[in-house]
Amino acid sequence: MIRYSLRRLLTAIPLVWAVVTLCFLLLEAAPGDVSGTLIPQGASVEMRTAIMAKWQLEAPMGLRYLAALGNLCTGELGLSVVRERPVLDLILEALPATLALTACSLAMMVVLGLGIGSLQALRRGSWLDRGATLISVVLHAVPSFWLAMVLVLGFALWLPVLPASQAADPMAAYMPGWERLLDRLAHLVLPALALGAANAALIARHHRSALLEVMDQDFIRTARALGLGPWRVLTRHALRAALLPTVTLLGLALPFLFSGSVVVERVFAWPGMGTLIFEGIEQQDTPVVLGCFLVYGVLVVVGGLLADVATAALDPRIRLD
Amino acid sequence: MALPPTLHSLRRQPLALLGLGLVLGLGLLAIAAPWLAPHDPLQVQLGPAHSPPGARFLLGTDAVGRDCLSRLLYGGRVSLPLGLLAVAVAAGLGTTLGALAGFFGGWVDKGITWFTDLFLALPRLVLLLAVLAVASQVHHGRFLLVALVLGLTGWMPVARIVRSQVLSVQARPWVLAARGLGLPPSRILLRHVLPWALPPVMVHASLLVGTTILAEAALSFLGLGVPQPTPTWGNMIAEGMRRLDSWWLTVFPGLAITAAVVGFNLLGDGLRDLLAQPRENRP
Amino acid sequence: MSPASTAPPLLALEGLTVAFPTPGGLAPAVVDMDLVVHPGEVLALVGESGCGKTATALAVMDLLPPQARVSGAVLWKGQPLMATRQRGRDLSMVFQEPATALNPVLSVQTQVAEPLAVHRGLRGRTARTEVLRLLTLAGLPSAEDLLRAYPHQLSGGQRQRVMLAMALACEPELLLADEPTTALDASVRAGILDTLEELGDRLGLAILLVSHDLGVVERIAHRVAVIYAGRIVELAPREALFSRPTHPYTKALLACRPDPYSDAAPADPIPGQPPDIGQRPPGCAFHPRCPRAQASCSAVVPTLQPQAGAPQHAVACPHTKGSQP
Repeated sequence: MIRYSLRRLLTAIPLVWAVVTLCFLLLEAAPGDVSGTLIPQGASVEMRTAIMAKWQLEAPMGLRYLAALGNLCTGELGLSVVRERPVLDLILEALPATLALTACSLAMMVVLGLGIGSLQALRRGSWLDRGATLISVVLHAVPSFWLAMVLVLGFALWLPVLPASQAADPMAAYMPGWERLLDRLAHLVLPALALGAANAALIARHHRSALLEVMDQDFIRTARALGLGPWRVLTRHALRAALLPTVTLLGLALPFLFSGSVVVERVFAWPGMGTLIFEGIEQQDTPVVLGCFLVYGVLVVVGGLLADVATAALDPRIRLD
Repeated sequence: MALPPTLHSLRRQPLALLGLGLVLGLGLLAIAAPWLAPHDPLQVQLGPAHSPPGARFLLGTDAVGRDCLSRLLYGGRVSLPLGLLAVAVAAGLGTTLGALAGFFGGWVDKGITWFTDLFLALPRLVLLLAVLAVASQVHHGRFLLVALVLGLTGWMPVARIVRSQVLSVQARPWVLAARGLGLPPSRILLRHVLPWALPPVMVHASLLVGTTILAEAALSFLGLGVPQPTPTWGNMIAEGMRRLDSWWLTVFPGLAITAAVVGFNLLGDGLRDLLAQPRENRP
Repeated sequence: MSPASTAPPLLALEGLTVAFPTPGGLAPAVVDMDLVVHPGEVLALVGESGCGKTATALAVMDLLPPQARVSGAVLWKGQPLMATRQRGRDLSMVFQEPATALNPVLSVQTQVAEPLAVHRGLRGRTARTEVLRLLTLAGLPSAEDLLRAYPHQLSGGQRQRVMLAMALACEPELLLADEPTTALDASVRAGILDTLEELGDRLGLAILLVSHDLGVVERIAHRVAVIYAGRIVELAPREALFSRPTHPYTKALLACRPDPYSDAAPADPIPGQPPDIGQRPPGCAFHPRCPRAQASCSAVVPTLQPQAGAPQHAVACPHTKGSQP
């Protein structure tokens, strides 16, 4: 398995390289460049020339490309043009927030998706089943940012239960540890829900049919014939066999979670990677954007690999090679 | 092998009919907007700005007093055709590439497959990047640009579907017969192979319209879509974000988007279920 | 030899009826069946596919699908059987397809240990020892290497024995075996049957064997019940059934068995098909195919009657008294 993982990671390198290159080309294709942000209005010609030279903004594209790649290979992933700080530092500041959001979303997707899907399978054809299907059809069609806004409207404005934005209370640093944790969690609920709801609906739907299929299998009948209680049959036998499609789905959902977080972070003013990338793009701060994409690429690859490994762990018939 | 389903056979799937109804309904509303809209969607009136839904402005007004109902109706004239155009681009490109890959095989296939996998691996974020990068300085022709970009990033699954369909059809007797008769490859591909690849593409295309409308909404929300003052459902929601307690600015466009996507999803699911039935069971 | 039938019956079916809802109404799979299994005996239910023998076994274990309608009484040592509570303990079952009847993602050790944990509270090393003992009992001695294997890594015969080991975990008094050898290669069948027979002798285990294969039945059964269209048409000790078959259906079944020791071509198969469960002919269900059918056969459903002079041997046909086999 180690060998397989290493091999997967190795083949991911050309992919990440391709992503970064494509990014670079697109940034180059955009009219204008970071000078728009850097050079203040009414600057003198000398200042303009100096700034352009400092960041090599007039160098031929090939050179700039190599320089960009070189930057990425350094430990710092290059230097942000606008903020003059190492890109890595910026990323490390923003990443935890995004990871927290993504992890929370994943957890929500799993719990809600599996829970509701299982209930639907066990109470097939009932009002619960049909109602849940209806809700999931709608959830799937709803734009995530709109859902985010509706949630804020509902739970932060009309019923002021949860906070409407930011990752933490501005006074958080002064709160005792326990309260601080609770505050963080409260801030996580709405964004994670907005991000994960559509996928949770998808998982519920697939899990329902997977579980129904499994319950029909012979080995479930064997388990019942041995006198194992219904709860045990469900959790130890049925769920284990039905989990496979969900794990696959989770692996596929990862890239969408990362890109979906851009929009959700906007709605909630969440200080994460999405905001960082967006600002970088707006300001055409190439090193920042490239650095972020590198990190995203790696995260997606690692996520996919974890999903594959988890699948193999669940089903001994699958051999990784 | 899947025969093209007819409207007649859709009768069997009530949900699909509901989807079709939703889609057609919204489409008709959009087409009839100039006659249905009670006010001019672009007319700015600072007096009744931010008024909640009421008798005069059925769905309220926005920050500069424009009627939301009219803007909603006119917004459909942007969001819906944009989605359809983008899917047309994606389906066209995907079908072409997939057919070429499946039909000619060899290096053509390998190259196209590699290309497809590359695009598939790019996170959707690159899509946003693409539009923003090129579009932020461009103000005319945004509609076509956004449609084009959405299409250029959605063709991959279509290519895969078409490729595998073409591969399986190629071994069928009538294709071998056509080859044996010495018919030119282009004719074989177009007349004898491709028609059989189309039904699954129809299913996917229907579902794709849904995701494309959502993507366009997201782009508009981020300020990258068709610019103001033209109303689109996405940029109406973006406006709504600035004054969340004018809830009508947010809620109604979102409902419109949801209805459209639900419609296309139900339609696509119905088509898929229909195609999955064995031939004998279809009316 | 058949153990004394004076011990109180282990399992008693009284008027058991199993029906399934179909578009055309309720279709009976088992009709008004009375049956008794004594401790330590091997009772075989024989019949063609669809005759209701499997449904009977599933009804006893309460493993029928939820839409099935069951009526009549199932008694365990004289008391109503609470199958859901007694499953795996007092009575257990092995199924026809060992490939699908075992959980593909759990190891042999885990699966055999599970009933031990649930019913007998055994865990850890004690459980492991017991698992090995059960596997040996089921005919898989020195099975340490098998413990960590998964079902897809085992042969058909091994899987069947694993299932057997699981079924024996709590030393049940009755084992229901639904076509235990049908899915296995011919070379493996004999081994499984020998194991079953041994278990019967050593543990005093009663076996309700369901099979369509007369060869299997002839090998290990003590008593045989022949089932047609959901009803028992003949019930007799093994030798009596095979040497003096009385019901026309039984006779036809035996007659069309290919004889491995003779060169003669097998007799013609029985004309016609067994009825679908929704379309049972009136009166005696066999009469459309019976060479001895008479007018009264379509009017009256024959009941199982012991024969004069052979009280152990019962037949459901009024036209065979005193006739030649």
